[in-house]
Amino acid sequence: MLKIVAVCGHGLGSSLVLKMTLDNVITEMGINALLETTSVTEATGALLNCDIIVTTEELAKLIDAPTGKPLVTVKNLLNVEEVGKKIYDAVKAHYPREISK
Amino acid sequence: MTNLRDSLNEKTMLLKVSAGDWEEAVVIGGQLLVDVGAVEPRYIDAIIRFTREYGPYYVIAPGLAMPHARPEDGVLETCFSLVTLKEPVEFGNKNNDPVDVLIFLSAVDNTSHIEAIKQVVTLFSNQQNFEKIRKAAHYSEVLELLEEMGATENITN
Repeated sequence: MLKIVAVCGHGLGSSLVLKMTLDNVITEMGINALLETTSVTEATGALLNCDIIVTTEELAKLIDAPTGKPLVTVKNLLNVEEVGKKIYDAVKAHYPREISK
Repeated sequence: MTNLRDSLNEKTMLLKVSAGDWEEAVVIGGQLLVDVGAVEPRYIDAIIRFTREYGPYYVIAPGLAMPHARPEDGVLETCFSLVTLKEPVEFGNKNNDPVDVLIFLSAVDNTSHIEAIKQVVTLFSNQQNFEKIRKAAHYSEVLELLEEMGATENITN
């Protein structure tokens, strides 16, 4: 199972919103993934132990993604089309076997 | 307090108010949380300080901000407040500016507000609901909308 981590400033606001939007789209897209949230300051450990990192464009510049690990950036955290398409593209490009549909 | 409807009431909503800039908007909504005893006044300073440090990390969708700081920045209770602005303000978030709807959050930990955040997502990911909140002139209109949502939840569950 893929592990996707949503990152925001404090790990309790935007990242939760993002997690819920992801929750609403990934199953539908046939992606089996565990979703976690974290903050920019606590992110280092979580980033090493995940498969995909998702965050806002604003915060992406503060995140030091481990080499080769996809960093997905979104603009509108509530938009299921945007979030869904970006996460699907990242899974397809990096972990195509994880898509069951 | 895990339900949005437990937080939002006459005391925690200010609709169609004027704010000169993002900082003033943050003070208005933060003060609502101070007044109901959900946060200490330093919570507002923390939001402003973090905004300057990290950028407007809580502007989550076009026109919508969810300002908040951390539990250790003076949170006493998990709570929400809602502010809508007559004229939108710029937060410096190029994708989602300008902002005219602000839902403030104070969370005592990382989990107590999860159900309420789900409601925030349900509420604002629906463009019709978003517009209703944006246009609401009286807090009772927002409460009605939340009640409608609650009714729908009960049916679907």
